[in-house]
Amino acid sequence: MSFSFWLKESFSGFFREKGTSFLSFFVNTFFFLIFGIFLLLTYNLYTFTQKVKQRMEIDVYLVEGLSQKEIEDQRQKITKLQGVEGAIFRTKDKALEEVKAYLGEDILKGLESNPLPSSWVVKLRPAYQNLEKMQKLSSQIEKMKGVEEVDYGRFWVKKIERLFKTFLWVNLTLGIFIVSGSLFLMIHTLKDIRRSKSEELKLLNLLGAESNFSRKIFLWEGVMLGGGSAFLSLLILFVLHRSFSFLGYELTFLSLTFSISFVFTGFLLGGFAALLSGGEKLN
Amino acid sequence: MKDILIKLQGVSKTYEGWRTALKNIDLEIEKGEFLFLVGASGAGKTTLLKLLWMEEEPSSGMVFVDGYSSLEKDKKRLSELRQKLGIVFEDLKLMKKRTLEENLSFPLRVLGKKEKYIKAKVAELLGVFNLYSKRRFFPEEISTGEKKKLAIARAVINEPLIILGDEPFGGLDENFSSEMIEFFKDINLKGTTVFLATHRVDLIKDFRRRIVKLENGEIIRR
Repeated sequence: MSFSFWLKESFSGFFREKGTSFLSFFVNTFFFLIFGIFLLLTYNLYTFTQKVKQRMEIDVYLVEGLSQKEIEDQRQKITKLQGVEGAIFRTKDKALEEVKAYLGEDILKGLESNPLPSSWVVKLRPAYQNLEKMQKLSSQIEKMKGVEEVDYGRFWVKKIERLFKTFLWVNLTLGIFIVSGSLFLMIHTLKDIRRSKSEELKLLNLLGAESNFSRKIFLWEGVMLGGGSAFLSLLILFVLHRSFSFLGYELTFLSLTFSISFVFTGFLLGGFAALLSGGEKLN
Repeated sequence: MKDILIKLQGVSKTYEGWRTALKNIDLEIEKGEFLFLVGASGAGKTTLLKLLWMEEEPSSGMVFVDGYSSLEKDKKRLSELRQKLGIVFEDLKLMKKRTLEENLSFPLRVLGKKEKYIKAKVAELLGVFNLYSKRRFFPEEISTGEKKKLAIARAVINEPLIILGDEPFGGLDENFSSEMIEFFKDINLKGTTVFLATHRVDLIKDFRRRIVKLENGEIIRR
C-alpha cells in the first residue's frame, strides 16, 4: 500500500473527529513545546558546561624560594597523578604579566616587588573535570612539599554542576509528565476516531481486511498525531529561538541529530498511543 | 465429479430470545453455478447469506465455503476467504464519508494491490457502471440506483470466486434490474459462482437455472 494512501487515511481520521483531533494536536504541540524549551535550555547549559569543563584546571601556588630541582620533582609528581594531562609552570613574572593583562597596568603600582607566587597550571583529562575528582586531586597535590595553596574554582564548579543536575531533573520530571499527558490525550483521540470509524472497520472486516490492515490505519494516525505535533512544536521552538537571538540572547539551537530525535520521539509516542488505544481489538 | 464450493449441512440458526431463522438446511452449490435464493421477507435469506460470509455462526450444523468451515476460528483464514467473496449487502454498506472512487478501491486495498492497478481498475468499473463522472461524489450525492450500481461494482472489483448478493435489485426498476442480471450472467460466464437472494420472483421467472426457495427458514425447493 502506498505511503500517500496511509497519509490520506490518517488525515481522514483527524477530519472525521475534527474537534478532538485538533484540540489534542495543539495541546500536544504545547506539551512538546514546553518540553522543547527546557530541552533547549538544558542543551545550552550542557554545551556551556562542556566549554567550561575544557577550561577546568587546578592552580597550584608554590612557596617562595624553591630550587630548580624541587620544581622539577614537583612536575614529575604532579604529572604522575592519575587524571593529570600535563602541568605548565607559571613563573612569578608570567603571573604578573597575566594579572596586568587582565586587570591593567596600574593595579600593582606602588609595590616594590612582585607579590605573586609562581605556580603550576595543572591540566586534567576530561573524565577528571568534575568536582569530586578535582577535590581528590587537589588534596593530593596540597600535601606535596613546597605547595602553598591549591585552587580549582570550587565555587563555580559546584554551581555549574548543581545547575546542570537540577535542569536534568526538571527535564526528566517534565518529560515523564509530558509523555504521560501526551499519551493519555492521544489514546483518547484515537479511541474517538476509532469509534467514528467503527462502521467502516466492520465493513473492511467483511471485505476481508486482516487485523493488520485496520491496525495500520490507527498506527499511522497515532504516528501522524505524535510526530506532527512534535514537528510543529520544533518549528515554533525554532521561531522562538530566532526571535530571542534577535533580542541578543545567544542560545544555540538543538543540533540536527537532537532535532530529528525530538520529532522521532513524537512519532514513537504516537505509535505507542495507537497500540495502547486498543487497535488490536478491532477484529 | 462435482466441485462443491458451498455446502450447508444440517444448518439451523436461532437468534437468542427470538424465533428460529433457519431450520435444518442442507444445500450444496457447485463451482460456477448461478442460482437465486427466493423467499418472502423474513424467510431467512439474509441469515443464510450471512452464514456464507461468516458474519453469523450457525446454532447447529456446519457451513463450508471454499474449504473454510464455520467451525474454524482462524481469523487469517477467514480474511482470506472473504477476500475471495464479492458481497452486495442488503443495506449496501457504502462508506458515507468516502467518495465513490474510495468506496470502490477498498476491496483492492485489502488485497494489497498496487496503487496504479487500483486506480486503473476503479476507473474501469466506474466507466462500466456509468459512474465515472461522479467519481468524486459521496454516496449521499447519488441516486438509489447509482448506489446499487456502486455496491455491485464493489462486489465484483476484486474478481471474486463467489458473488453473494442480498436483494441486489431491491428498489430498482425492472429494466435496470434486468440489466444487472445480464451483468451477473456475464460475470458467471467467466467462471464466478453467483448466488443472489431476492424476493422479486417476477424478475427471475424466465431464469433457466436453479432457484432455491426458502419459507419460514426451511428450504422448500432446491
